[in-house]
Amino acid sequence: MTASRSFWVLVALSFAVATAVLLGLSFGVGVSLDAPTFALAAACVVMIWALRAMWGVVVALSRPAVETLIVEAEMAGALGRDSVGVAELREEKRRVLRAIKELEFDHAMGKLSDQDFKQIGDRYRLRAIEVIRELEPSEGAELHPLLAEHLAALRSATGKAAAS
Amino acid sequence: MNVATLGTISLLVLFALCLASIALAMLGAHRKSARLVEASVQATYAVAALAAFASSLIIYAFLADDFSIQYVHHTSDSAMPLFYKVTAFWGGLDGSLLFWVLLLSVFSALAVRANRRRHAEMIPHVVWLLALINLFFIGLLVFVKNPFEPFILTPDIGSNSRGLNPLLQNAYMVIHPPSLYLGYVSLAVPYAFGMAAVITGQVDSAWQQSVRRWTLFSWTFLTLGLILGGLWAYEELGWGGYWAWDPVENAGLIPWFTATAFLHSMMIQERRGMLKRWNVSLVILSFWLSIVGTFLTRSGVVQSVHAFGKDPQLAWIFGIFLIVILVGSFGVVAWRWNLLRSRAELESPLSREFAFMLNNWVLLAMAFFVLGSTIWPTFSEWFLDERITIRESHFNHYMVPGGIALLLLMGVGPLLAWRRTSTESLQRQFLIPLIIGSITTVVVMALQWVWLKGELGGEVPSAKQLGAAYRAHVWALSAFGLCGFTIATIVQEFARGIAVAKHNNPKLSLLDAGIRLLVRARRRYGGYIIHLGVVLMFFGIAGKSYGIERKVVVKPGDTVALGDYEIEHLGLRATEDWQKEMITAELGVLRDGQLVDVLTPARWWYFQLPDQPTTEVSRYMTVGEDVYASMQTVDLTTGSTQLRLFINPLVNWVWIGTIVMLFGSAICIGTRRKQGAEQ
Amino acid sequence: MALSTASRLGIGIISLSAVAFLVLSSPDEGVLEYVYADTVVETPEKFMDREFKVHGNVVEDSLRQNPDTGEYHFVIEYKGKRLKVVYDDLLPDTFAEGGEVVLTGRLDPGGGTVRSSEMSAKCPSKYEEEPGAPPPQAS
Repeated sequence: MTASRSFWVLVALSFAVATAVLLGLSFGVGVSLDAPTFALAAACVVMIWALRAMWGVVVALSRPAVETLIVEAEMAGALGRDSVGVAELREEKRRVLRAIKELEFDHAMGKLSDQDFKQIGDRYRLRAIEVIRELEPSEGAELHPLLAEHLAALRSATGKAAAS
Repeated sequence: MNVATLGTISLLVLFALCLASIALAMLGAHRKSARLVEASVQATYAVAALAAFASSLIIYAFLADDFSIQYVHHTSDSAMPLFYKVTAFWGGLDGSLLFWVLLLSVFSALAVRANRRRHAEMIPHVVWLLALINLFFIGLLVFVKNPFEPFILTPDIGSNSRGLNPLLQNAYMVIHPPSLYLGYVSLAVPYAFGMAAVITGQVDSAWQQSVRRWTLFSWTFLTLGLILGGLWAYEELGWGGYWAWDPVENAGLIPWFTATAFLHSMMIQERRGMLKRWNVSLVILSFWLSIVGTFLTRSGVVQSVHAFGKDPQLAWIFGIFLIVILVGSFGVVAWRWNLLRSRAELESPLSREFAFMLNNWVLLAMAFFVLGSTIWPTFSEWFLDERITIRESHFNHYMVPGGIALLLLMGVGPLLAWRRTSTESLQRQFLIPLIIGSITTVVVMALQWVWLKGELGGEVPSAKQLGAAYRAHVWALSAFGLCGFTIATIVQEFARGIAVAKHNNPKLSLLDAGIRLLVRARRRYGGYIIHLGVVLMFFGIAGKSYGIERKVVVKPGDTVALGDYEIEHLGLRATEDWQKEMITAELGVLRDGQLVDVLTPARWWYFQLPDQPTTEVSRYMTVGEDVYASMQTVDLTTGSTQLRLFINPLVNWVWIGTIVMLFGSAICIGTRRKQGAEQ
Repeated sequence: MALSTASRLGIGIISLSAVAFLVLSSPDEGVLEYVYADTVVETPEKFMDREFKVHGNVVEDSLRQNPDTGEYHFVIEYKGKRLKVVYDDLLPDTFAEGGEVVLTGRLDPGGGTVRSSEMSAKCPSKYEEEPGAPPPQAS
């Protein structure tokens, strides 16, 4: 059972148990539906979650290592998320692009000298290119338009430098 | 199987599970086994669920009036309103420890879940670090302070279960402790990530980005908790102020300083790869100081009206824990010292980097000053056999200039450039704020002259008198001037930012450009809004220096002068409700002969606690000041009423500033965006 | 290129002067000694020219109030030693004869009387200290 489906099953089960406990207590035992009763029902539900979570530990331990990785990748895929390596790269890409934007803003506001802006900016942009290249197989042509411009400019600049 | 037994068992299982998660995480990290690491992560989730279960049990015990449990018996009674029964969960010491475990377990689970893939290598270390901290508290619950401890012999149901002090049954007292706990406990997450980063050698700013939200979250709740405590003291205790430098107040404030420093210092590491050692140290200190705070309030090591009472056993246990954390954490840092070398150096005192470093130093100094002064009386008693008390004046003497320094840095920091501010940049950035700041200072000094003239009955003050007045209020005047300067800085930043946004998108209206600014550069401009809130708070605090206090004994019909007002005693009323007896004085507040308000300070005698009447404060609130009255004692036969009357200028700006700060914080924390959509 | 020596020196001097200034201009009565009444009675010379805090039990039937000045006169004792008190502020909520009080004040030249304007009193009845309990003091 995939992760998200099992989650919803758990939620449904919780509701069912809570309702059963409440009904059982009020009709079966004749206890009134007041705060302590609800608290008791809630405690039962939480206990189920706790037991389920402890079972999760056992399950995780019982899998051989290889299967763990496969399950992880599957889960990630099912939830629309990336596998571990890709996630780390995406994270870095986000960081670097945000850093470039902040640099541009600081420069526009006069907090960064032209020289620093060029120097630090170039370093970030090169790193961005590296990261995007690594991501390329899964990314496709998903380049930020600004970055595509810079890339093109840098390529022609380095091309000129290499040629001279 | 009763609740007490079930609860105790669940705590034992919790302890075992937590221990298991530590072992699994450590082994998994050592052997690089995905299977073991996954198991440890699942165990973290299980610990959270089990802690929730134990908490739900204790809440059930409160709601069901299960007085066979000692803790329930001591902190609740059957007549208590439902809501306060639930909040009694964290009201006493044992329950507060369980609450701590609950929060830490849930935070651990959330932090691990959110960062599993982004920081895969660090996660095992994060897991065992958080679990180790949790284990300490769970251990306390299991071995020392079990909240489920039953009575050996059940006391009579009829015998007086003590119930919650009625003073604690108000909205502030319900929000203030949990807010502080949320702030304290959440500091463990950045600490765990910081240590994991150092251990794995991944000391770049990646880990900080992930914990930025946690740190902001923690900072916000610490701030909220501290302010609420102050507001409660102001509204309920009747001594006219909101902060007394009481040891427990200080315990909450001390980690706030280092957390603030960390929040700022992070930005320098992110941009320039500097201050890595500072940042790791600050995050360790913030967490360590939060545990010190817990230690101070629970061990009875310091004398305070807030503290839970003397408990030498707990003092020793916490003391050892603190030493272990400090030695262990800084030991790891020492091991990785070289790795934490800065990528760049400080180049000029006129640089943003320098301003931030100065900020770190000032905040660190303030933190350790308050800590030292708080525990100094205890050390003096233990080692020098001399009992001393430290008064507010000692704290204020050092902290006020410190606060002024921070205010100055808030204004100057954003104006400085990176690496080195050129002369041209200096002029361009500083000109307007300096002008505004100077104008503000001159205006304020002129107002002081006018006020002094009024005090002297209309005659012009001599240079000597004026000089004395300026000297007496020098910090307040500086504060006002700097408030002007800093607000000008903030406004200038917004204005120029909007100009830049418009320049990039000429079709946007001013408002759209402003909103785009807030959304795109959320961290920066949310931060500026927080600064604005802080400036307003300083403005409010500075007003204290012009306050007036009078202690009087009056009878109905008497009138007392109070600053620009006159207070007339209009009579006394004696009333009663199901909980208490009340005696209320009606005081007319007159200005220029016109009645502007009627204050109703009162004394309440709860039937539950006949020996401890409470003071009910009454105030007339305006933007400019509060007229504040509290009643001390009253004699119904003669009508003789002892009153403490205050004029508290600008005090409401403290609360207004807080709201602005929280708003700014919300902007900074922002909403969770879909991954990859953040361009 | 790091900070120049001149800059470092300048920063060092400014910081140290600021700290020195603060320390040297410290208020006298930021730190007060806290003693019990018997110590004051036995060695009054030590407490002659400064404020201090003194802890004692209010002697029963000793409270008088001067009708003109509003000053309260009472006696505190500790371990049998007695000290007279002249107190010119409002009595705190929890003041009671037989209860414990902590007074902040100065010793009269004679050595037998303490003049005080600040008092905190502990209620004679015990109650479990709870978080956020109000300070039983009027200061």
